[in-house]
Amino acid sequence: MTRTSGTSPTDLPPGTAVSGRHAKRASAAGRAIATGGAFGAGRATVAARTIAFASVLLAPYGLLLLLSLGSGWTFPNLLPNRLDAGPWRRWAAEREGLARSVATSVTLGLAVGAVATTVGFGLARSFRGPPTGGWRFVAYLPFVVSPVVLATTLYGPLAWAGLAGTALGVAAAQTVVALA
Amino acid sequence: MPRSVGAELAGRLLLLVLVGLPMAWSVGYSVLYSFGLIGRLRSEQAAGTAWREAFAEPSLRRTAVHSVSVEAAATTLAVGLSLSVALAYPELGSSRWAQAALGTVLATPPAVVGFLVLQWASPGGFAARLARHAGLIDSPGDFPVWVHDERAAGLIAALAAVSTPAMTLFLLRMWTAARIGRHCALAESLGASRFQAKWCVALPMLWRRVRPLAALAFLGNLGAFELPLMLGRQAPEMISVLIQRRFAHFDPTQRPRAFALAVVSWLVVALALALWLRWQRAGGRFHA
Repeated sequence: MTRTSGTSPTDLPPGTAVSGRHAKRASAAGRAIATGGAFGAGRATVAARTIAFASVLLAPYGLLLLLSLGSGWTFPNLLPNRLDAGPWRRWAAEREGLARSVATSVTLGLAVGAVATTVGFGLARSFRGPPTGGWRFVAYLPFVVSPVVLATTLYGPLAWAGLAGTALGVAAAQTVVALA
Repeated sequence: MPRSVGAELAGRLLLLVLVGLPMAWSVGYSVLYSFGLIGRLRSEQAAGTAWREAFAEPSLRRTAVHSVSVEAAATTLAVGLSLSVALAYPELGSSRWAQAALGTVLATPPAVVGFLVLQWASPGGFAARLARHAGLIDSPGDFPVWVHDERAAGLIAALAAVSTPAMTLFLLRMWTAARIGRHCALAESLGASRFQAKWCVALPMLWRRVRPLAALAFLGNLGAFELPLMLGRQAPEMISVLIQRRFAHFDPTQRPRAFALAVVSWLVVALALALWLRWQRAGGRFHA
């Protein structure tokens, strides 16, 4: 038996056969309901969309790589004037200082992330449900104060504690913001 | 597992000490400094001078309007982009590569995003060079101004680029967590077209969930500093840049005025936050 147009699958009696595009749509819908997945997105489609999506997102970074390969960039050249890997050679010559900067950034990031996540998890667990009213306002306060103002005003107490200009002082100030 | 009253009290105390106290200190210090009650200039300026000067700042109103407009445009663009991706390609939520690409953009520091926008979109940038090779322009001066421009196009794009990855990851996660795909499938099985299922079922479900994140992105970006400094105009400038410029001014008498501006900015954003929280508590509607 063929389903008439405009009838939804749920109107059909048990055992009714559904054919044509309605059948395709109904079976795809059934599969999607069962799996919670998207319609008709096979593995190849997902892979192709992922590649296209990632390419669009990461393409702007290609310019950084291109510019890092040489020195000078006169208009309207698309490539650097001299492809001499100058920036990389300078980086290699100063790698000690750069390595220290990278190490400081990574250490600070990991430390702040670990402390803020642990404390934030503990805070969230201690509240029975999401904080409400004034407590919620307090939790969101770091979004309100500009980081420029926060850094300027926290400088005094951090200097008093001997932490101004130290990694620990920076981590302490960043943790306050990261806890929000 | 039920939490004890003691644990909840300890949590609230910790929240006050770790977040509330530094924030109260920051605002209190700014207020006292702006009134000349603390700081090196406390005996040299009459109380309230900084406030009068701050409100007499010729560009204050334009700066405030410009800041809010740019942030609103950037947040709208970020929400629109992330909703579009989540609605059009929800299957990306199960792709680790897509998530890694989003994570890469998310982890890019704002200063690097600003540098990228400058290299791409400035009159001498890569886009202008491509236009020159395509025969569309003859010189950098013919290229449309997208950075340091009146419409803040480059700045809005950069701010949106910073906010979009987090929103997209969140929405893709929500698509799976809230089983939105199943709701759409059910709607389609009941006769809705694919567009209707996404427009009438998925979009409202995603929109309701992304609203808090969008509000936080808006509030957080109001204090953004690096991108407005790198890509914004000098007049009117964003409020955070104006405050920082007053802080770093060679004339130390400008500092109280900077603190007064900071307090004004804090009050406006805090009021917006309080209104938004009240709106949320009312279930997305304001009650008289």
